[in-house]
Amino acid sequence: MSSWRDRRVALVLILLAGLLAGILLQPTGYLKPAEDIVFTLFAPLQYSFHWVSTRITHGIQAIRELRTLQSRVAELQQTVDRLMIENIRLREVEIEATELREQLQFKLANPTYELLAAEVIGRDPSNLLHYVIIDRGVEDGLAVGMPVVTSRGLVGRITTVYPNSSRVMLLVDPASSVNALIQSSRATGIVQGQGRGSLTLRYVEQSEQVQVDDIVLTSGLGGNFPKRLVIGQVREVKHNDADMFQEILVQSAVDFDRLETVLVLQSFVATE
Amino acid sequence: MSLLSESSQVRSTINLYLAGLLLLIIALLQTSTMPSLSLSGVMPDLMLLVVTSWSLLRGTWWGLLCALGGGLFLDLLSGGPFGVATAALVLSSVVIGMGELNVVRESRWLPLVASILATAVYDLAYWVLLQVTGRSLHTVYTLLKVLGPGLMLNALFMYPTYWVLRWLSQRTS
Repeated sequence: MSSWRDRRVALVLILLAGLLAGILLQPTGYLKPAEDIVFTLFAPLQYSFHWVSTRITHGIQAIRELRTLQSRVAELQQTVDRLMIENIRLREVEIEATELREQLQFKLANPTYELLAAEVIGRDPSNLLHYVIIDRGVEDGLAVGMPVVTSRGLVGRITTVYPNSSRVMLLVDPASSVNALIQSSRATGIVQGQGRGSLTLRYVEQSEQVQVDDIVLTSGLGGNFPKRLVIGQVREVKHNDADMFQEILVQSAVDFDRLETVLVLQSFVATE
Repeated sequence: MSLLSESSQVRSTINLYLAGLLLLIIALLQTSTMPSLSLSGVMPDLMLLVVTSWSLLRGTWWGLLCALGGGLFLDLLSGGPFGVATAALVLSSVVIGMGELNVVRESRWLPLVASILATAVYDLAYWVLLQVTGRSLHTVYTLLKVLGPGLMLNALFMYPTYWVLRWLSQRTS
């Protein structure tokens, strides 16, 4: 019994001695190797215990907050939905504002034109025809033959009018032809639609100097369109000695696949 | 017995009106929604797919009726010469009806093959009719530029259209 007590006292004394040694040795740095060994051995265990305890704590917390969380998720989902709708709406407003700004600039640059804005509400059901339907008609003062433009350039002209809508033949339709001239050389010809966004300038004499990137404008000849409306830019010039005329491919200034808003030139009356 | 036949007559009349309304909606979708699904500027021909599917599901006569009704709506909304869309649709529905007699109806590839055949016939007929009616500026190159993406898009949209119409056919038959 006494030997057990002696051993206990000895253990306490050893521990106290260790504590004292630690207190004394730690500031001198002699304890560092021992500390390193202990930390190297215990760190993975410590990490594991921490990981498990954190998960358990979070689990318990989650169970406790389940009801609150569900309602918060629903609330956040509602906020996300609302913000998404608002974001889409604002993006649309931004696009519309940009378009209107461009139209205003066009209007300011051409004060003599009486313009009426219209929205594209439909397209031709056939892939071989190139027409759009706009939301303005006879009741808005539109008539057959009126040119349709955007701030970028000529779109086409009205071919049919209804009380509240009109049908516009696009420049790219194969049935469309416009008297045109090249801005730099003043060479004249006829721009014809080729379908699928391409235009060809025909009947330009071989002797005329035409360069790629030259601007093509309406010439006003024939009385179907006013003068100086932008049609597009020369993309390629094809010379063939056997032909009397050059064949010039024109890149339209307008993206016909993305037409949303157009301007109808009400002040111009076609002569045909 | 007469009461039964009278009620079935009323039902088929209602079905006919509903079919007309449906074709009108499809024609409006063709001009307003389909352009946003276009590939290289070519949009899927929803009306053609509906006519083709209906021909496969209900036979040549129903397909023909559908082609006539749908084609007239398309012609009303189109800037092209009146009757061209109807004639092209009728022709493609007749070709599909003729082919359908010789093909196993249950084949899973049938809608795909039918959509390809119908698109080719429809576009070619449309192109020829435009030439005949004075739109002679359309070149073969234009036709090929339309036909390529058109075949792909129509094949892609054929199965959803066919499945919806099969469901509708089962409900109304």
